[in-house]
Amino acid sequence: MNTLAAHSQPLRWFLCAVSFTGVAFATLVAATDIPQPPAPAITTEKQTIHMSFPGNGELWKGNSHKQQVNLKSDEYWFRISGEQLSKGVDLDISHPGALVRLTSLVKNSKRAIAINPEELEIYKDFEKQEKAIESLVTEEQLSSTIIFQGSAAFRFNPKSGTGRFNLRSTQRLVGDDYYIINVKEKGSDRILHLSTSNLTLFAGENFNFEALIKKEKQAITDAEYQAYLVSPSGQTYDLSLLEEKEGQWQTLLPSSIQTLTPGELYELFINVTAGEEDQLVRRSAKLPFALASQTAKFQNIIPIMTAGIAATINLSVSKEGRYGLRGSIYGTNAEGKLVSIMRSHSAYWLEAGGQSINLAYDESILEKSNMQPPYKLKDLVLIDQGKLAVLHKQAQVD
Amino acid sequence: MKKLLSILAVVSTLATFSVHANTGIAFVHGTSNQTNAYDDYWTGSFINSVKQGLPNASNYTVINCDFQQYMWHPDAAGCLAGQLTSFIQQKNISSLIVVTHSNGGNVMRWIQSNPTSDSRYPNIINATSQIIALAPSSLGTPLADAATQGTVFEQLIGGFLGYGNDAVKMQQTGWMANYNAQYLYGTSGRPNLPNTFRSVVGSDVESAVWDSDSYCGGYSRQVGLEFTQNWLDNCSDGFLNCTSQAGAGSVWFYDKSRTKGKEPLSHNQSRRKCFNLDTILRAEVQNSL
Repeated sequence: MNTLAAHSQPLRWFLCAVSFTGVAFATLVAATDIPQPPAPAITTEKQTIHMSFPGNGELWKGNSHKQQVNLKSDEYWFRISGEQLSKGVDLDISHPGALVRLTSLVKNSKRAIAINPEELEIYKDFEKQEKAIESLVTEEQLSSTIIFQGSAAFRFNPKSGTGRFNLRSTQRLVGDDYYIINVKEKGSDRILHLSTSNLTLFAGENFNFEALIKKEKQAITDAEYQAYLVSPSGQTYDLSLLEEKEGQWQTLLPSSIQTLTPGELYELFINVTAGEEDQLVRRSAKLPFALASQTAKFQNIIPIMTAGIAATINLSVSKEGRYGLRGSIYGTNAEGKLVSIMRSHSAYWLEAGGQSINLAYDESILEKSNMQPPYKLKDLVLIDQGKLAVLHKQAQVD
Repeated sequence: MKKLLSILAVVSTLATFSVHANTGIAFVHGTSNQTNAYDDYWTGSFINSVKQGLPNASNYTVINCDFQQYMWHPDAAGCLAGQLTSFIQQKNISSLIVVTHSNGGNVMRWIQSNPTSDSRYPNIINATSQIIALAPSSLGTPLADAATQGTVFEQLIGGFLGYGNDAVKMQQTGWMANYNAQYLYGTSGRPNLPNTFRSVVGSDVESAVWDSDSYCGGYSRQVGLEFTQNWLDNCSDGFLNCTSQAGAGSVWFYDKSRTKGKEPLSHNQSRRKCFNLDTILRAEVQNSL
């Protein structure tokens, strides 16, 4: 099923109406399956390569320096048809002077008629707002930005205030043409905050993330969160969500999902509608993460740290390919604190089966560092370099 | 384990290039598929001015690759590695200064951060003395986020087809955050890069009709970039937030602190002969000898 067609229905936001007073679950839409052949590996390098370079002398921060993706949104977007735009679509504006961008989409190789912003009308409470549009930009003018092709835009007059407006086009539009409307509320203090430290997951694992809409630092409690999962190739998936506590969510990834093109990311699409006294605040965002296949399993590590070998790692390789190890070597300074000496990398072409590989380090960098033992290997990572997937990572080795 | 040729590469003397080093410059373009970046991306007047800082002005190369692809793609990092390797070998370059613009900084950072992915990478890292990153999109850009709203099908047919959809997808802020956290070095909390990576940050766009400065690099582009600033922070070059440009390595300078007349460099102007940017780079090349 084509996703475009699937979304020709009124937008289906698939997560859940959330009560912050307890655990909430939801069911999302069914997946749309679009079979595609797997893309080739991004590297077919066969040589064994070792490389180390000096670190920047940073102190070891323990496990506290966990890497995260942190995102904010002060905008929302949705898709409409030409017919809807002719009849009028509601825009909820929570910040004066909002920007509205309308992008023409393509159906059957034909792009929707370009929107002429001069033929847009704004209504509020069924009354036409003659001065609601402060400035507008045509598709031709926006084309010079390169990135906003096929788009026209306008800015609300800040004096129009906030609330629900109705946007209509008097242009002769094709009913089943489609457009994306993007409302950007730059400067708004109502922000959707998203974050996750789950950067790479395997199918069937739990995805933990934070999603919370706030006004300044205070959570807006009367909010409805909706979301669904989209694969890199456009497949959409049902999800059941669990809100563990305010703003902290967990969902179980479907066991059937896979990544076909190395490096491309899955995205959790999230839409939030929050009620305030006399207006709605709407926000949209996408939270990406990588999906890996377990092409090799980390078995164990034997720290060595002598004669140029930092450690030996035993693997169970299920798919022949190129695998890389990387890690940071720390030494002890005069104050007895661990300081980074170098970042070391080793990569091998490995056949399927049990494998034992070394992470090498450069002894000359160690000598020049003037750091004392004990030397420690930290931040060890195993990467499938062909599929571009982090298969294993551990902050501390010993 | 099938063990093939083993390469042991060491980068321990990066800052110790001698006065006898043979210095060269490589100009690495941004998101685009180039066949003549000399004319179409940089312009000859810019390149010819910068290369005058070299003892041997013929020691330069202008990269032409397809940076509409993901940074790790054979047509992106692979192509860049091939052209840099040829340049280093043919000119016997021992001290390479890489000047990147925009997404070119990400592709270069990919090579720097993944030295064991390709047997050509270690030699490039060893030969490189510094990377001057003009307006690098190190943390991505909200404009890529905006251009990829909707489903993948809507994206494919929507606003940015023809601009390079994979590179634009890659430069979404969330995607770059994921790549920076897992595969790339040089951003906050991550291991440092093997070579010096210093950025020049563009902080504003001026498009006043009466201001001749608005015409450097093309007036119509300035107008567009001023509009796209609406999707960006108050400090931006019309395509990238300053935080993204300053997001990897270290900041060499913010535009107004060094440019003629304290003019800002828009994203289009930071690859052109605007407000003495070329002579600033030329002087840096001379100072690095």
